[in-house]
Amino acid sequence: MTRRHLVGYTDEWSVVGGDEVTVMLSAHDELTAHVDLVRLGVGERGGRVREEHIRSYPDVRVRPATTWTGSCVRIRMDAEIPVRRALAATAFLMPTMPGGRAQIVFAHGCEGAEHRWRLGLDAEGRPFWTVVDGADRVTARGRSPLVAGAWYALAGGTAAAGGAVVVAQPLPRSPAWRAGASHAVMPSFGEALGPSARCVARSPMFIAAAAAETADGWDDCFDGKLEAPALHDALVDDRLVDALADGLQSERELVSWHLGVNEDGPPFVGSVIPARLSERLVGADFADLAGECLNAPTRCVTGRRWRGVEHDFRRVPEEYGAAHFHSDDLDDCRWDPAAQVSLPPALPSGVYALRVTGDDLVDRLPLFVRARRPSSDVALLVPTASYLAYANDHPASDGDLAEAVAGATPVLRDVDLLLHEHREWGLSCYDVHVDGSGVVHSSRRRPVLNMRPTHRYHVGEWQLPADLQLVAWLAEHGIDIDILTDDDLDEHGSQLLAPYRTVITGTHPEYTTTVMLDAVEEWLDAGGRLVYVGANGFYWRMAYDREQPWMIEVRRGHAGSRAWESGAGEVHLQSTGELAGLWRHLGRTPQQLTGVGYAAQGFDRSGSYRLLTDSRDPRAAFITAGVPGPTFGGDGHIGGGAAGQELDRYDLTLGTPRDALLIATSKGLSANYRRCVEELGFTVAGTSALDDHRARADVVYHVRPGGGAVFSTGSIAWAGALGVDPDVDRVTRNVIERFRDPAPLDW
Amino acid sequence: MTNDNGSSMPSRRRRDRRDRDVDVLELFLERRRDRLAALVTGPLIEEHRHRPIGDHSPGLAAVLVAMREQPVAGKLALYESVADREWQVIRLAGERATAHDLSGPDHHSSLADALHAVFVQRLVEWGLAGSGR
Repeated sequence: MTRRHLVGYTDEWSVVGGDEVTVMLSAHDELTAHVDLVRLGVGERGGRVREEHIRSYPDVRVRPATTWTGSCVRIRMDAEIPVRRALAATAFLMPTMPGGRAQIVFAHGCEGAEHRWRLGLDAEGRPFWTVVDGADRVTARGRSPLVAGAWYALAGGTAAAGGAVVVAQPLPRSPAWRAGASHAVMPSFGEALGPSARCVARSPMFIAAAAAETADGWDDCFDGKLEAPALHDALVDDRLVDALADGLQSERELVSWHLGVNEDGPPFVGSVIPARLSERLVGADFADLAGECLNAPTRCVTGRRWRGVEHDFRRVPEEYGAAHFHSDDLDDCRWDPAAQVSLPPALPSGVYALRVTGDDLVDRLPLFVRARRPSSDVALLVPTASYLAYANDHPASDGDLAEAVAGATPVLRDVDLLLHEHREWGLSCYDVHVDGSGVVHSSRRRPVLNMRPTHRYHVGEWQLPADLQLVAWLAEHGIDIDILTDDDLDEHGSQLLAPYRTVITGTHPEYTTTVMLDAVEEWLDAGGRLVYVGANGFYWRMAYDREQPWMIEVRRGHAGSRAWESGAGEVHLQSTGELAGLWRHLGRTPQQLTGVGYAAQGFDRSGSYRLLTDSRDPRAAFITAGVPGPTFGGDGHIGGGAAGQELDRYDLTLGTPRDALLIATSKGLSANYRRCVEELGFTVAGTSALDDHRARADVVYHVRPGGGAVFSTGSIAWAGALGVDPDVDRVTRNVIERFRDPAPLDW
Repeated sequence: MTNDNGSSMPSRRRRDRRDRDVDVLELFLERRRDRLAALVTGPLIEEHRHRPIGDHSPGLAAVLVAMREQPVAGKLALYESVADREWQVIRLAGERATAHDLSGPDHHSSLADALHAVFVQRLVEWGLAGSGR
């Protein structure tokens, strides 16, 4: 039985007053929903949200919406492909989880169509070729299952003696070093008598899936890599299979599709999959057989020819001819719009939501409303890229280590059960795909149920709910802010920040593009003043997808505090070509930018801070004015203190400016707080905060040569202490007030 | 176990493809159970009751490390059945889209009690404590 729910998403997150917003909604059953625009405050643990009603919109009818997950390529065919001898379908493939269910590599015709064919792996992992022609039907099935991690040439078609045949021939130079191919890889072959395949007009062709009976849908998706799928006018015989396995182009090839790297890029890949037509098809009725890539398979991945020498797809594009398809990929739920709403033209900048209520259910779809023109000298940079990286994470349900990381048994809430049961709403960049490979893409065109004010992570407030504590506190203290988002910063660069003297970060701005990092640096160099009220920020390089900017791309590489590792040779971003990973390994440490950088994480209980000598430095005395000391920050919503969750540290060896002032450091952290893995060359005992002085949070202040300044709290939990711990309030207010004052900072 | 030839050797297919890491894991779990059995005492259980989260004695910390690193399939967890007021001991499915088992009767009105209930239930399931402890 489907759990009761009412969920939705909007086409955009970052908007301005007067914008039209398209709303997509779904529910467990048909219902009528009321839609209100509200200004968001804090979401309380009990489920109440402190929010201000702005306006109501007409009720909408909500129906259960279908989401088609799984990446694939759809090819619309206008005319029948002429075949003289026999149609053969081929592809190179590396399955990653053969067996358990049928998976389609190449298919023509909807399920139930009069004429259709399928090339794929059956539920035992064996290759099969099925042709259905009216009442006639045949399936040729290979005898041996294919081996995960091994490359094969796969062909299905007509045998020399007539009838259907399927062959999976292992490739001689498979790069088995990464593979699960730890046992013998054998050919797999099967024959059966029956009808021959055709490609009829107005019947779609799919790569890595098959068209479902329902209009526009697809299923039986493939998990693994595919390269150079092709159709031939040829019998499937030794000549064809040997030519494929040897890497030779069949002289009888009709058309093939290029899933690999665009050698003339950037862009290195796109959603259009180009078709290479043979001379026989050029000029026929085939204006184009280009495919449409759906649900974002991982591109720029190692192919059958990869030798393990070059790891940058731009240098050897011919070795990166594959795409990695996953049955749980998702780039867009593609639901029909339920409503289109107009935002009030004079809507002040702020964090809002479209609140959708019906049948005792509620969902809030956040909207980050920018100012049309700067309306304050202070901006809050909402870390929407980081929200996306965590979107619909399943730590408690899927993560073997979630409890160890948290230092406590995870507590699940209704939304966690809903997310666990509705996998069609997609994964986060902290999840792995069903085949164990890391999730590279995350899209906002789906319900993102952990980006809701009342959401609590298994470790407490995280991302938006934590940032709303900051937003609410700023409002309570009369500090007007303009809202900006990562999406805007990536689009506009430092120009976006230029009007603001002071910019405040979110609590966990972990992911940045190169453009974003450049922009913050340029703005600081021009005199900007940054209040970094968080930790583990400016940590990973990521990218926005160029064609689908509602989607981010993360490649974790092989180091850092990581939920998964990239495959060998797959650390360059398909969106930009850049080497991905931690900024500290790319020559731009967070310490250089903010004075602090990732040091440790814990989560069971938060600690407090102890003031240090530099807090009395006359240049920094304004920061702790009114704080009696020697300690502060011993209370808060997040773990009961201001120093907690993830922590950043002052470290001259990693780039903290030598003249930076170390104002305060954490105290009272538990043994569950441990040094970050990227700093541990060897695994030794004694890396907890009880044993290692480098597992800590630091408050650091620094004025840059151009007059710009950075104040860093070194802790995600800081925002949770706002409004709870008077000294944390005082320090935060002191810094923001002084930063807003145009008078030069003493240094 | 014998095969068709009367031999006690496993079949070739089974011999070739089985992951032998499981053999080592079984040995390891046996050894660890013995080690933990020596640590689990009444005072250790009381220590957890008083302080389910945070720093613990070396003995309790060792027991918690073993509990926390269990694979997610069948692992005990908590479900907040009434927001901020009631917590239920549940068992995780470990399989995507398969509902977690919420059929257990164990509900608690404080999070600390619920955390301790999970701790005790795990000890019982490992044979390291009686169900009455």
